[in-house]
Formats: sequence, structure tokens, C-alpha cells
Amino acid sequence: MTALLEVSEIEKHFGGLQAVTNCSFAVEEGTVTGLIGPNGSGKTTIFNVITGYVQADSGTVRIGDRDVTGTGPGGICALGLGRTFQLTRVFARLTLLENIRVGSRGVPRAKRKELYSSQRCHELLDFVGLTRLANEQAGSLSYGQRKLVELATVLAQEPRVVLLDEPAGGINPTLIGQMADRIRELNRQGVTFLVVEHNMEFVMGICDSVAVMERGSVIAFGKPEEVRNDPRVLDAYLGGAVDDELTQPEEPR
Amino acid sequence: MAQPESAQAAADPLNTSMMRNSRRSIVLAALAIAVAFPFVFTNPAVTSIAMFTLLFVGASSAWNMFSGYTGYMALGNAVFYGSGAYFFANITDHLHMKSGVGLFAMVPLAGLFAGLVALPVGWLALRTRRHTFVVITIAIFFIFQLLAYNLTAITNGSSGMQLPIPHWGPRTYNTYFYMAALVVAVIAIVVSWGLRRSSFGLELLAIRDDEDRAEGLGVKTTRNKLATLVLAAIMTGMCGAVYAYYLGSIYPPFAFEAIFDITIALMAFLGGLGTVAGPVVGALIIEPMQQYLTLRFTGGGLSLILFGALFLIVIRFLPEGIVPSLGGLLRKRLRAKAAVHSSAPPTPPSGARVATTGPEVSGGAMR
Repeated sequence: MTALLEVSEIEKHFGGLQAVTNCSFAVEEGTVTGLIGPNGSGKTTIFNVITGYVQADSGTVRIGDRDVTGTGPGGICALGLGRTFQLTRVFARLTLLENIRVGSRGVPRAKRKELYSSQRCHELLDFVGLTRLANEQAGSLSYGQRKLVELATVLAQEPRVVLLDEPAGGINPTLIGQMADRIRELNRQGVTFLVVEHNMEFVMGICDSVAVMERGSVIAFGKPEEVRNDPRVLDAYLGGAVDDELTQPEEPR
Repeated sequence: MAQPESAQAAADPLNTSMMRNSRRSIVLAALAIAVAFPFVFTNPAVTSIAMFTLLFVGASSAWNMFSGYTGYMALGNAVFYGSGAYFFANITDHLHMKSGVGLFAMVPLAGLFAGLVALPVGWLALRTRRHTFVVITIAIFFIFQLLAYNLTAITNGSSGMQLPIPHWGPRTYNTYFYMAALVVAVIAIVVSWGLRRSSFGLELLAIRDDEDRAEGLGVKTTRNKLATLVLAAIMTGMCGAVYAYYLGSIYPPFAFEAIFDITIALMAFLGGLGTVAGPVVGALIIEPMQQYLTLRFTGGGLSLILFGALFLIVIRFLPEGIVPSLGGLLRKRLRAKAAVHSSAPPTPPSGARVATTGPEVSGGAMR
């Protein structure tokens, strides 16, 4: 197994806020890796750094054996990495089919015809269960349905790695189950995933390994069940402040 | 290959083969009428208005293929109109060209020159987005107007430039310009239509809806925007050249006119922003109205006031424009009709479907 996506020693600050500090982790090929952590721990920032939407202050991002640090979103896409957004982003005034076809010129010319054939576009919509709405504008869909359209648009390009930013956030339980099924199925077909998610049940259900972030760095990495019982993780989630006071009362101020 | 699941998708009733055929007939009929027009209506006052209308059909379609598709509201396309006009005046002057039909051969060159002008203009303006972009385009427009007043070596300043006057008889004089304007307008419409149907055009619409996400899907946003602006500038520049030739003389405030910028945008808004037919419909309504008002009430002030009022009315009551609103209405009608006539509902679980469409249909028929 090799690391398909590797992030090392990333630093990023916005003004006075240190969003990401010395953040390193790797996503093995063919796995589903979860990225969890409390709000504000830097998960989305790392996503933005990897996908080229935000430039890191220092550190490197590698896809395969290629250093892609500083590459823009278009270049990252061309390397076979697709992403969805935390606040779902669809092309609201385009139909679902048009949404899927937007990425057609982002894939190599040789594969364009095959990947964007009418049949495959319909198959993708069928895959996310939205065939019925193929000719509706994406803006008329529910939040959860938009997430599925966003996923289908990314999948159309047949990416090697897919980064999902809160795929289960704010959508109803039925759709969450559907989303998990789709991810598992794609993973079986060989697609690698990195998933930011707050829904623990969802994460534990689909992930092979989990990275836990707190205050901008990865504090734990391992199998879901290991991470779940890691004291540092519990600390991060349940709030360390109370603990600190209890365990270190004599610390001089 | 047949797709059983695609049959379930609610088909667009305006995109059936019958609809496409009737749309084609309408377009061909409109073209026939446009070609025959100056031979039926020979009154020079009428053909003059018709010629200006066609120029605006072209210029507004050009504006729409950039601003309507990408959502970048440019209010400085007069830069390209004026550049085309001045290029035309200069080249005919330098080459000592005799007046006549042959001069129209310079119109495409004027368009290419305007396209060249669009490169630095776009490179500069497209570093910004939204409101900033609008303001920058207005600023660039005023810079060009100022240049036209002051670069006297090229523009002869406020004294203006004279163009060769053709020796055509009064009955056919306007017809030549009318046909030239018609050709330019048709080219602009065809390009606009071709863009709208292409995957490149789809990328432009994606930029309009969410530029950053489009970039993440591999859309080369900057390159696409610049290319489209250049394309629009070429069309606009050709309109400007025909305009200059028709007037016979060209002055900075007419070549670079702020009202032009607003007019072409208003036409597209009225007809339907981002649609192919929208700017055409808008120009066909607004330009004759404006010309009539200017002829009827000298001074032109009244038409400006009515312009402003019309703009407000459009934005208040027809925010989508005439074409999309009519399209929506027609679609509703057709769906209601189809629901009434279809004895076999398209989807298997028909019981619930029919029950729910019942009241909708009667509602549609009442309207």
C-alpha cells in the first residue's frame, strides 16, 4: 500500500489566527480515511490547501509521488482529485444533467467522449437516485439532493481520490444511508476517499482509518476503534479545559 | 441505446422534436421577413430605424454572450463599438478607399481590431469580480472616451472624422447598410447560439453560477472569460464600423457613448438575460421605440426618462425577461395539455399521479 495523498507539516494562518499547525497525515490508496475533529480544528482549511483553493504558508502536499504544493484547483482536478464542499455548491440555474457535464473539458480529451456519453451521465444520476429530476434546475433541489448532485458531478470525471467535506451534514437519515452506500460501492471500485464528517456513526461505518485534528494539527491517527478510545481524542471532543484544571491544579500561574 | 430510466425524467415540453421543428420554422420565417423588409418598406425613415435596430440586435447579442452567460455585467462595451468605428474611419482614410460596397469588407477587420482592444481591457478588468468589475468597465469606458478626444493624431479629436459617402440612390441607400447590419446581427446570433449549445458555453454558465467550483472541476475560468469577451468585442466592433460608415462622420461622444452601454444591457434584460433570443427580442422592442420617441419629441430627453422607467418595470415585474417568462408560461400550458390528453401516464405508479394532476389541470385550464 502506498500513500496516494500525503500532507506534511502544513502551516496556515489567517491574520492572527493559526488555522493549521504542523499538520501531517497520509491517505493510503484504496482506503476511506476519515478526518474528524471539533469545530475550528482546521479540517476544511486542510481540504482547501490540498485542493489548491488556499495556499499554505509552508509544508508540502503530494499526490502519488508528485509534489503539488501551490498547484491551483484546476491543476489538482487534472491530477484526478475531486472534492465537494461543506456548504454544498451546485450550479443552481443549470439542470442536473448540465451540472454533471460542466466538468467535461476538465478530463483528458481522449476520455471525454466515454466519460460524458449521454448514457453514463444518466447512469451517474441513477447512481445517486436522481434520474427523475434530470431536467430540473439544481437550485430547486433539497439540500441533501444537492449534495448528491455535487458528488455525481465530481464522480463524472472518474477521480482517483475524492475529498468529501461533510457529506452527511444537514441531510436526512435516509439520504445519509444512501450516501454511505454510494461511498462504499465506489471504494470497492477502487476510489480513494478522504472524508470530513461530524456524524460519528457515519465515520465509523465507512472509514478504514481516521485522523483526528485539534487546534490545527493531527493528534491521532489509526483504525476507527483505536481512535475512538484514544484518551487524547476524548479529551479533544469532551473539552480539555475542565480536565486541565482538575489534573493540574498546582501549576503556577 | 434506449434508456429505460431516462424515460422517467420529466421531459422538457419545449424540447420535443416537434417543438424544435416549429422553432426552426419560426427562425427561418423571421430571417425571410428580415431580408424582405427593406424591399417592402422603402421609406428611408423606416429603413433607417430598422438598420439601427439590427445593429443593436448584434451589439446586444454580443453583450449577452459575455455578460449574460458569465454573469459579469460589463458596462463598457462602447469601448469596442467605438474602437471598431474609429478603426473603420482610419483604415478607409489611410488606404484612400473609394466609397462603395467594397468598403464593407473592412467591417470584419474593424471587428478584429476591437477584439484586439479587448485583450488588454479584459486582462485588466477580469482580475475583478461582481460590482468591482462593473465599476472597472465603466472606468475603462471613460478612459477610452477621453482618449478619443485627445489622441488627435488618430481620432482628429472633437473635430471628428469624415468617412467616404457612398453614391447610392436615395431608394437603395439604406438598403446596403441594412443588409450589412443584418449580416452582422445574424453572425452575432449564430455565434451566441453556438456558444449556448457548446460545452464551452456550458462552462460560461457554470462560471456565472459558481466560478470557484467551476475552477475546481477543471474549467479554465480566466481563459474562457477572456476568449468570450474578445468574441463579443469582435461582434460589437463590427456593429460600430457599420454605424460609422452609415453616419458618414464620427465624433468621440457618438462612438463612445455611455447610453449605448446601458441600452444594450437593458435590451438583454428585457428580452431575457443569458438566452439567445432575449437580446434580439429586447432590441426589437426598445430600439424602434427609442428612435420613434427621438423623432417624435426632439431632444431625446423623454426617451431617456422612459428608458429608466422601463428598466425599473422590467426588474420589478419581469426579472427573468420576456423570453424566459413566456417560455415558462408555455411550458406550463403544454404540461397541462399533455396531462389531459395522455391516456397512458408515463410512470407505472399511475394511480397517485393522476389523482394529483387532476386539480392542477383544471387550474391550468381556468387561466
